[in-house]
Amino acid sequence: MTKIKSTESFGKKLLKLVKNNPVPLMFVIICVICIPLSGYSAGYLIGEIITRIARNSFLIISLLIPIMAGMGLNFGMTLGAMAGEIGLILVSDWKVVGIPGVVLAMIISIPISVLLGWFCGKILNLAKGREMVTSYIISYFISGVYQLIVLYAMGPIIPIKHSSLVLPRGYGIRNTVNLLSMRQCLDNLLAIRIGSVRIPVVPFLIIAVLCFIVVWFKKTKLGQDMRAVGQDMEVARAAGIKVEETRIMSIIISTVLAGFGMVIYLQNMGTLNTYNSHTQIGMFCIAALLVGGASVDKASIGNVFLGVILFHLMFIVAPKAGMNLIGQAQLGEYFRVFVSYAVITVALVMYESKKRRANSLTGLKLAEDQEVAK
Amino acid sequence: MKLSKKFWLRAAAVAFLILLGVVMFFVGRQHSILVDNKTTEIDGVSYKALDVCEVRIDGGDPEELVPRDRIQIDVMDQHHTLVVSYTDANWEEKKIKVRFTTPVKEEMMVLSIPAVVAGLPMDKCLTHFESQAVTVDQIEQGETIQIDETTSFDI
Repeated sequence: MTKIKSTESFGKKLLKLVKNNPVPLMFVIICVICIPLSGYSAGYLIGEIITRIARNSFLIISLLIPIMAGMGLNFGMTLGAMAGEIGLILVSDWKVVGIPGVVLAMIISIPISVLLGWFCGKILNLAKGREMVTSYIISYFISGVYQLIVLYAMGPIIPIKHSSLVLPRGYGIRNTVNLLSMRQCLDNLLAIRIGSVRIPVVPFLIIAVLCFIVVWFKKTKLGQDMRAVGQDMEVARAAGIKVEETRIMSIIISTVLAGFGMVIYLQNMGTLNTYNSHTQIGMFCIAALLVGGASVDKASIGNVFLGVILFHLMFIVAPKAGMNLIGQAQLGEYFRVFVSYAVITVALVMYESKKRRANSLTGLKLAEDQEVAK
Repeated sequence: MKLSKKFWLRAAAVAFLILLGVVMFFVGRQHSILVDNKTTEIDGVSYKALDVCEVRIDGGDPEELVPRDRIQIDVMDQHHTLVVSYTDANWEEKKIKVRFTTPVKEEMMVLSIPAVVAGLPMDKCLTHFESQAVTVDQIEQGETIQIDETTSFDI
């Protein structure tokens, strides 16, 4: 009898697990199918995943704070990415190389990120309840401003003297900026090798510090305020919390962290695609976070790492699996792009349906209570 | 008006970041040094190129130079150490170690090894290098700037 009971509870637990984590489980299944089809060795896959965790995690962690403040997935992190890129362009022109170059690029990105984050936060306060779509459109708007500055102001207004950076016409920045002088300078510092796998210790330390800061931040007064605002703005306002200021602060912090993350990301890549590097970064970071099991209103550090592992594992194996399966690597490329968009769509639909279900349940309970009261 | 503790903390954080930025700029500034083993004339005196020598800057990889050789070594920071090993006219092995400073604004400088070996002061050995003017046939073609999936234009 007891045995049957425990089996039932296991089945229920399994069902609950599947119900609560459909996206990560779907990706686990995709990866399990694609890994043998790709033919990659375990060593290669582990090495690639470690590199990508070091490269992308910082950017994805920057998304956690706006979620905590109830502002959803911050597509406006692209703004911080642009600030980081401006920092790297200036540092490349000033010929500051290596780790000092990376640190200086981060420092330069701070005031730009703060300004853009404040601007984004102000607008999002005017569009409460529609933060995600608003931040998505703001990122396109600021991308246009960024292109205007980089294409026309850099040279005549912002001095850029190196011909390797400036377009042949004499102003504007070239399509690609070579970051070889700082390529993987963080990754190579204190890197250790275990078998064929190289572990970039310093980026992992930086990410670990950021994780601790996020955990600590949740316990601070501002962190508690953000959580309160995220749960119910009106209740938070009644409790004396400056809701608008708190929301702006969360976006500013996220934008500044995204700027740092972009510098770490690009120092790993070793090349900056001036006009396109930032365009997809928000989308892929958000997709990775959602793949890790996060939702629009709830995300944790665990979601970040699980998301990076699953999402990038699919990124690595899908093209090769597509190639081996039907002889076309492009299929895998298409697959990974449509999956990125699909996972965001699925997560948003699920969030909305969950919210509606919760609302209708609350309504039913209220009606029931009223009946009882009568 | 009494300023709050919060204000001072923020001001200190900004000041720290500015200071850190300045330090990073000086520490990370890259200079290209063109190490030259050519016969050179300084203040009307000619200094002959060494037959063969080995130079090393800031403990980097040693580079061998024969007459008329010029190599580029990229260095960080402003303070450097140069070690020149060569064989003199009496077939004696000699090693010279000199310290020198590169001004922050200088991006590329020429370092004359014959002048260093002759014991001239570093301001005579290390001189500003102006890259040559670009001639018409060196001017590059324009680039196509792709700003998104749908828009691109030629510059």
